[in-house]
Amino acid sequence: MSGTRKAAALIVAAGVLVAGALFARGAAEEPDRPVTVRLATWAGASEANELQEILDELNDASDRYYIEQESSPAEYYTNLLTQIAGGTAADMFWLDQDNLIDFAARGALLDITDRLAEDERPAANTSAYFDTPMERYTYEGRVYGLPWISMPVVLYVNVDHLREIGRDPAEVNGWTWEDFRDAAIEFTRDNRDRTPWDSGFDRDEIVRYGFSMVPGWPPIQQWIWQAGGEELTADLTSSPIDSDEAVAGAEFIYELLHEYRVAPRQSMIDDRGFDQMMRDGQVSMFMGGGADDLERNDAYDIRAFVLPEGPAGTRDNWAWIGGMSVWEGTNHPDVAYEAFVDLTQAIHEWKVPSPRIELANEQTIIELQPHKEHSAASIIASLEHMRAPHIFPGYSEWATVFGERYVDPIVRGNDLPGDIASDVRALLEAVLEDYR
Amino acid sequence: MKSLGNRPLDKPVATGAAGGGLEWWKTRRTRDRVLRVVSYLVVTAGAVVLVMPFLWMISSSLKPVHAVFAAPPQWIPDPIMWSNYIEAWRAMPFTRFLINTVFIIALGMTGEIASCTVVAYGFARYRFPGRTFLFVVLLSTMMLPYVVTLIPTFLIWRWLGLINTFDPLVVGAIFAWGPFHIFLLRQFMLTVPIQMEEAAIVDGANTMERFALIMLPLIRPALLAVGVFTFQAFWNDFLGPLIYLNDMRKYTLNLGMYFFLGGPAEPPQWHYLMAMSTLLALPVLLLFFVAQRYFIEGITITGLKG
Amino acid sequence: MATPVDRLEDRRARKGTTMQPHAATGLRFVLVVIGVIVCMTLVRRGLMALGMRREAATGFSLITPWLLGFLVFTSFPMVASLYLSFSNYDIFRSPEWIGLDNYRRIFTRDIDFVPAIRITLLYGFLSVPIGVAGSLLVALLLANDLKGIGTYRTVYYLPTVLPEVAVALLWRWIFNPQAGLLNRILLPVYRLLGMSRPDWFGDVPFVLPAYIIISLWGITGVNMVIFLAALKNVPGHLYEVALIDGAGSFRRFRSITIPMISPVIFLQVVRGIIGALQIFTVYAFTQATPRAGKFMSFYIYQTGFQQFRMGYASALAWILFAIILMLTLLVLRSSEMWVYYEGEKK
Repeated sequence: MSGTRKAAALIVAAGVLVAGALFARGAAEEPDRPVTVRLATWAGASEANELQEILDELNDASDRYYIEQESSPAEYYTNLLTQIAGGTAADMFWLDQDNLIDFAARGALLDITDRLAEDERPAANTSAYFDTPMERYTYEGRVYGLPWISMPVVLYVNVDHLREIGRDPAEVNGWTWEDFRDAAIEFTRDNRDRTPWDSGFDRDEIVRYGFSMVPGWPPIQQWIWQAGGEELTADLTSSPIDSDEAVAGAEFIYELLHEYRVAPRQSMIDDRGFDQMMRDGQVSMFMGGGADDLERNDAYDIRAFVLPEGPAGTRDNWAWIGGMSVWEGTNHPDVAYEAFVDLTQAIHEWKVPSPRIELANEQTIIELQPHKEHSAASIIASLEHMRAPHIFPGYSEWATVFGERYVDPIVRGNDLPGDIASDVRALLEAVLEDYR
Repeated sequence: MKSLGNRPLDKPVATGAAGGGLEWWKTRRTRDRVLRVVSYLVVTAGAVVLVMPFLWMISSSLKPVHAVFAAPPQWIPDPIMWSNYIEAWRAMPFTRFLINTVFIIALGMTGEIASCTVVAYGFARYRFPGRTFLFVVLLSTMMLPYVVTLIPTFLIWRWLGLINTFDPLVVGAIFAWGPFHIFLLRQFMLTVPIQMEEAAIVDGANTMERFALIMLPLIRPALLAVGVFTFQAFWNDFLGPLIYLNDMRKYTLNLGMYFFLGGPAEPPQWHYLMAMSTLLALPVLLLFFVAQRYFIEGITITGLKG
Repeated sequence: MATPVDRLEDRRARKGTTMQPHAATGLRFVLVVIGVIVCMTLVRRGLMALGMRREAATGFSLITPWLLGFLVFTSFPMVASLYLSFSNYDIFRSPEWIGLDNYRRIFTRDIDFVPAIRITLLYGFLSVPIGVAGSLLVALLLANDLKGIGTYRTVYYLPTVLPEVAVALLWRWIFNPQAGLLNRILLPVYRLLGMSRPDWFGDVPFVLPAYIIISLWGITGVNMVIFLAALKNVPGHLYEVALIDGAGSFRRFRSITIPMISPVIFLQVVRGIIGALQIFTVYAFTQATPRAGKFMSFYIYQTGFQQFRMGYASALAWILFAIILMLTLLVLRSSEMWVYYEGEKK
């Protein structure tokens, strides 16, 4: 039947067309000389533009590589993970401490240990870095990336309010927990200017808060550490959050937030903006990264200080570390590695505080961010107290349980730390067990 | 028609008018007028709530960055910073992003509206074995959270060698990838009486003629609605451009806008974000304003009266 | 200042590579369109050659674009995720088959699963009826030919164009425990009950009500537009006949409007179920206490992309899929009783 034959011919034609249409590619690009190295970052608008100036200089200076920026700040990790799963990831990408171990342990990152050992460039010298940031880019003794920023958590204080309650900025770096708590209480005022210590204090009509905290920030781990406790031991076998020290750390927070009511509730913070309340003078103390620009304020004199000292005699703060790694699947690891170290070195001169000891000093900070004039010394002092959690390949699951089962009820005031610590410990250790 | 037209409707009894026809009309008119005023009030109250965040967006787009979240909110910015719009537009190459977006929308909308309408017509008007089953399959494609299909879908485009091209964003549209739009159009087609097309068959019209000349004009409100939705879906798509486009020259407006959200070490630039949001909202609103006028023209199928 | 993209442009121009991504995609687009049309023709001819009725063959031919797309682009990801649900898949490495382990763990060891399913289903059951009835009501109000109604309709479409930040702000104004609109309005009630002002997203019993209130937002925008279009599709002469018969407005609504738009009500119910049970963005933005239960979609995202347990996330997703499908089938089954198709071919 001729109809059938015609149909068969048409089927073939259609198949060819559809296949051709789908597989057709644009004209092949001519081979790159120098080699194009793709760089994925979470840079926002101004960061991306500043970064491009750095890249321009590097690209002009090198005839081996040309770095192409691919930035997108929103859903950065969803994008990166999809690209890695699909085998189309950028040759190098920015990674923060929370994700590095996860990526390294699962074989997504190039092991650069041996290359670094033979490399003479200053940024390749791993002993020139602070210990905490460098440790976070090392997994099982091998190095999988280099940090380019390490931000300690500092205590921002509204110095105008501080003077108002009769205290001097010079004393803040010597504060203990009790000094900090007393100040927080004295800062807090209701609509008739009463503090929580005064009788008739109206908790529903507070106009100024001494401190500010939400379930995710600042990390409660800081107080656990400062009290001498551990949330996760270095050998990754236990989470002794029910030890007396660890509970004392969490209880300090519970009392501060719910007995003295020195901090606004979560929805209030959502409404006014976490850092905005500090800027507007509705909150007198705030803990934030050393690079936050709270000092840029026309109305108030805001400065950064070292965290108050806990009962264990330490001022440990939670470091946020950003860095960069080379993708294991890159087609040209040698060139990518070369570009990677050059770029890391250049970023060290751009971002403060730098994780490299010689670059982290007051002058550099003030030079790059003049409004940090009064904060620079405290930020540098905080670098010594930086600490980062012990991260393992199941850390994000562990952190979810810790955040949702322990931190959330404490910060929201739904449970006393002592009541739930041992139950949560069991849950946390079940996660550790899963990943052992 | 039968189930409605042939059933005699009872005379109203609840109007409270015991008297003759004239009396009853009078009450009815008063009642309608009261109803009208009440609807006006309800609609206005709702509109006030809805317009607040919109005004906030515009107002924020004209402020310096730290004034955006100041409490209490300042509705009229002082000074009014028109320059935010220019600065935001220049901070990233938004003109290029606009060209990319318009390109994607032009292809995507054409493909999606044409294919969805045809497919919906097939489901609404033709009996074939497995129709209900296939329709449930179609619905079921909307029921799996995107999180778990994102990577496998990405792999398909990777096998086709089309990562970092516009293809994943537009070519799929030809395959009627909006199950909801098919569903919507099918439902509207099912409200159209079949008799009109039957009359056309008698006149010797073929499938395409019946589809284009009889069905499409009758479901114009639905087509317009789908047009607006499709435009907006492409205009606001974020995840697609994010994962399929690597090269920053190929970014879209919406993807570009997210640069102002900042990152872990860069504070958000709310004023620019709101300026871009306002610019992105305007075309959609304009399109809707134009389209909604046609919703008013009720479709009266006079040919069937009686 | 030159942006990163300008630099790339300069470089391409210097190198003389003028590949036009738009032209390449445009070309492929046209080829695929032609391919699909050819396939449609082929399906019709082929099936008729095989002895199928003309009507059935035409039907298949018309749905060919979707069928092709389903086979090429949609079926694989669905099957793949089903496969992944029986495996250990961490995104980075190849999946490893572990049989029913994920499902076993969900039903025996997972402390988040039951609260997640509970709040998701409760939210669905409460928000869908409210949403459908509410958007119909709004559409009825806006279907009137009032003066300046076009502006009103546009205002009611505003929610769909607003950035999430602006919408989130509205909720903050409303739910703020101290100065929020809702707590100000409800203050007498609290006094009467002797309770203090609740923290809507922080106090467990208030979380679900808060999200139900938020879901009211959904009665505007797209849902309203669909009903608006449906109302305008009701043949006007039916109302004329009813008016002559002397039917009041409520009676006209019940006996004409409802049956005539019932296919669209059906659509909205199905769409509502599918959407409500996958609620994600609002939750991700408002950060309610997880103690009240995390919505399923968020839980799936968290497990898959944040904890790198994509196999487990897939298992969760397929359970959610099964629930949504079952509910949809129930509605579909029941629709024969209450949906009136003017143009249905029996």
